[in-house]
Amino acid sequence: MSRFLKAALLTAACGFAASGAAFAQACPEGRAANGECVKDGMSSFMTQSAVIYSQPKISYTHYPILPALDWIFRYPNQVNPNPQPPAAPGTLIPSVPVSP
Amino acid sequence: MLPGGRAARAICAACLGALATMSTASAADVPVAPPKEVWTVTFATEVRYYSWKSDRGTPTTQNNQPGAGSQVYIPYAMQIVGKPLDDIKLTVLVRSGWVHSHQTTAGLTGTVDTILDTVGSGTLTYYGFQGVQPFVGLSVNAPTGRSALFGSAANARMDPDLVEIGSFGEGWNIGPTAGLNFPITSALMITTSVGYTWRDAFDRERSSSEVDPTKQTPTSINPGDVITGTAAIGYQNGPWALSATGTISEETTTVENGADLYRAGRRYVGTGTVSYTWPEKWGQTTVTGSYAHSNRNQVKFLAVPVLLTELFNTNSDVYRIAVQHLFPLGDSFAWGPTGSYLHRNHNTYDSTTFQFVPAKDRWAAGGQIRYAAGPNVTFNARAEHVWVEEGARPALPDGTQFSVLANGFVTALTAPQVSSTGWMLSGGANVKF
Repeated sequence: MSRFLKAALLTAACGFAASGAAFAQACPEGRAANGECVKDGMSSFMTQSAVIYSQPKISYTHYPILPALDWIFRYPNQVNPNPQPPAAPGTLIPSVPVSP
Repeated sequence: MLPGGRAARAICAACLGALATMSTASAADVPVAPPKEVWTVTFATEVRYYSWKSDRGTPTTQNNQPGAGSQVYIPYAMQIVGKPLDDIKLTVLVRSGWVHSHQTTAGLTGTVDTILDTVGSGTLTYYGFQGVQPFVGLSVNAPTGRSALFGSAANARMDPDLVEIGSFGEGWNIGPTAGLNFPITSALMITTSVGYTWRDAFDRERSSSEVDPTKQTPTSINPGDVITGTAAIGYQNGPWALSATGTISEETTTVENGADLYRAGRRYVGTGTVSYTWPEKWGQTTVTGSYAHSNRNQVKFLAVPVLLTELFNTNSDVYRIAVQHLFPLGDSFAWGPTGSYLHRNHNTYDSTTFQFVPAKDRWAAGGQIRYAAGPNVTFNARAEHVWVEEGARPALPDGTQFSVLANGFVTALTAPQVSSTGWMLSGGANVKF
């Protein structure tokens, strides 16, 4: 394969994914079922999302992510609910009868 | 998703570097090894300021004084990413923070200054198989914050729809996660995972079911453990990027002072994101939608020694939609508007029962800007104005409410419709080595 063709392939690969390398063994985020290199960053993001969503109550204060990602994962900006208190019974008023 | 300017610079730098390597190799007729993976260390911190005003303080049923408060939250984190072996990726992150929280509502004044809990996470991903990537992770919450707030400090816990930190600590939590990525093509991936969270006991200044912050009795709370199953799909091709995630969580019983208190109902969460990068320099639009539903809880009726499934659902469904757009500005800046709407419907109890939770709406509108000062340093800033409307909590004509759990009439905790507004200002930096 000519030097110029390899350069053209690499340029095209960079247009889709920064790690789409011309080297057969250079797939930083692994290979897909069809043999293609997984797009750079996709595996990392899907793995991180899975770990965060699988631990919705790991902490009251913040998730184990960089602060810039809070706007994606963290309540109140997302719907992983802040732990809500249970329904309270209240203070009975002895003089008020309850209808049977 | 990266803003257009930074993405363009990063891609161009990689292409130029690789092209130079290719040219040298071909000219010299010597095979060139693939680029060596390097370890990266990222430090990140932000300063976030929240300010709010309202018709009522927090909680809204305590008195009828106009509410106000502020909060300064400073998170800081360090992340290490690298490959100890060719086919194994390791990601480690530690994060903590400091908060100053201050409510100034008359009769509900309180202040807290404290370090928050510290969370850590480590994840290993194996890339040696084609078409499947197993991963395991371990997350930990260390109780470096404050869970019990005696005296007026308890009033510094404010509405989490108006400030970011609504509670300042709990006990040790340990959460292992295991999952599989299935990359179908270079652009399509399915992910499944399961996580379990062991939650240790911690102290509070009052019971979880006590609604009056002035009634304080030292309480030991052992929250329920949680098991969560997750399934997700991600697709990225050309200008489009899409993802959807669904989760199901089941929780064990929460115990207070050795007695069963409640068991949360099964919770379902669904979220989806669509992102489109426009041609030329028109930037990128991202839309995110989310929904959460919880089944009925098992609760403690006063006259019954065991937990029973409640007759009506205490939990509200939550709907949220958010939109943002980023315009590239030169090679180093990206900026644009943000907006979101959250609706929490009222629960299924009658509005004059003590267990009723009214509906709540939250709107936010603002903007953000990002600046790449260099290949390893980025700055970001964000500002939003928030509007919150909460429905009324009415009482019966005689000033009481009927409590289903007590099977009797109780002193009512009422509030009219409450309107609140607030500001959020945030600025931070990320430095990568």
